[in-house]
Amino acid sequence: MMTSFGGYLRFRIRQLGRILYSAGWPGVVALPLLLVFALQGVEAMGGAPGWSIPLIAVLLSISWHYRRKDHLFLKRTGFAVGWILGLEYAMVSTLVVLPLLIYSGNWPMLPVAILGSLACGFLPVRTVQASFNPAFIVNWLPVTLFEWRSALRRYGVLFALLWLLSLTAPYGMAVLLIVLLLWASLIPSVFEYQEPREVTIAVILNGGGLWQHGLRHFALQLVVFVPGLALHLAFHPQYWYLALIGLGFIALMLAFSIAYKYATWHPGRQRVIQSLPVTLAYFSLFFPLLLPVVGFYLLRFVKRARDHFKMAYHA
Amino acid sequence: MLDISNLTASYGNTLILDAINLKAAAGEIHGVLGGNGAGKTTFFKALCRLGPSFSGAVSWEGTTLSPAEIGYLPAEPYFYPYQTGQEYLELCSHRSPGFPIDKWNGLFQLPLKGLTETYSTGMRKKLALLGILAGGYQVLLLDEPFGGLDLESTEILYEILEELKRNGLCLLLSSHIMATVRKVCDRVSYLSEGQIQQTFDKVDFPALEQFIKTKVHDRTKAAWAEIRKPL
Repeated sequence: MMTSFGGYLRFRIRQLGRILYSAGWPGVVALPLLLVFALQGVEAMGGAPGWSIPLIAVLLSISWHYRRKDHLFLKRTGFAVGWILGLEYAMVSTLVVLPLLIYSGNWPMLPVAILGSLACGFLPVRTVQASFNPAFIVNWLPVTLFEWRSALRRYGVLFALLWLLSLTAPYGMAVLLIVLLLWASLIPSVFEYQEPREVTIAVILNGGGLWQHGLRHFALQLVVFVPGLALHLAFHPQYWYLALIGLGFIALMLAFSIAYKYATWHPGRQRVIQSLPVTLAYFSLFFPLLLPVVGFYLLRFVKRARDHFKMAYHA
Repeated sequence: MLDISNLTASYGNTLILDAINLKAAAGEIHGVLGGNGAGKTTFFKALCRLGPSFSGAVSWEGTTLSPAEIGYLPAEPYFYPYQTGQEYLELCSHRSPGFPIDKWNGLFQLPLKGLTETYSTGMRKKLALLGILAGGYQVLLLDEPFGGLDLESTEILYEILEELKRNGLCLLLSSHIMATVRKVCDRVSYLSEGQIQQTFDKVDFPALEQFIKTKVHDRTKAAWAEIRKPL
């Protein structure tokens, strides 16, 4: 059993580069986000009961178990699937809960967390492909915000965690700003696909154009962050401008991502290529000195997107 | 009347379509036939401005027709990822909100609550077809609409095409299946070497089959003679 796990581990390590590459923006953004969550988590867990540590390990393992699609592949290649997956979950979840164990000194919970994760590898697998996130996560959204519906099905947990973090705005005057900046940095991943032309025609062209599409998206952000904004303004009214700055960055990333998507449109290309300007836009969130360059690119992409619409859809 | 005049399309310096002229009436299904690589898909893509550089004029009932007024069913439809069939149809019918999605889906019985990633090739084709019907277009371009469909769905598609014809839509359709062309098309244009070589009315379809046989036979006669030559 251990030999096949060793082989599996080598196989996974070889995959690592490709996994990081295919993770794209969400993956790159997820790393600092996870760090923030871990630090917040460690602090918040100070007064939490001891069993919450194995619970986190098991929840992580379950969510991973039901997201992966390689069960059948591993079975066909002759691996002892239950053991292989269980050991992988145990390794990773131990790493995740390690800071909590160190902080709380609750070491007896370590074997419970390991055994719990190990057991997750043996859970039965669903045969029908389905999105991980339950329907209520997307069903409240208007269908015209199809990019968000799709993104929430892909990265719903990440967005949900970030939103929950916005509810901790009373704890610090900069909390909401940080959450809004991190949220803004995820926005390019929402617009990373091109829709079929029939959808563009019906929703964008006959639905008020790019400007209105952008406004629809911005209105959604405002609705989503109403509780966080209210809490921030109630507890730190003197720092109202920090919320405004955060919303400004969200508006910037929305405008940039939408304009970029249609400016770089190409028939047959289904995925938006993330290039240098997107990287600059991303870094401008943390280095505002880059904002003039991003502004220049934004104007350029808006013009290109308009040209594309003129060329592709008008007589 | 759909009037396409002097449609020229090229990829870089390679000319694919050379001044194509074609007319099709409302309520007509006009077949576009041709060998692999003859330019059928390029013809449709040029009308929708998807890809090739092009020139020429397209009008519908005497008025210039914009690409946004043409529905296009590609041979291999693409959908936005992590989207359900229901959402796709709701988006497509955004400009014609009266489109009864459930009633039309009664024909194909697609699992509209499921993600499009879980659909088979045939199901994707059916969903894309419903999508362009939901769009309320008057002119439809159907590139190999029967490709990947099962026998029952093929019959249903025949019925749908008849219904669209009755409703006065103009359809350009490409297919490699002669039986299909014979059954659904009112006229057929044969595309070869970047030009429409000949257009056949329904009564002339036997002549069309003879035309294709002769064309193939002329091309293959010498090759077969070589193959059959003893080594």
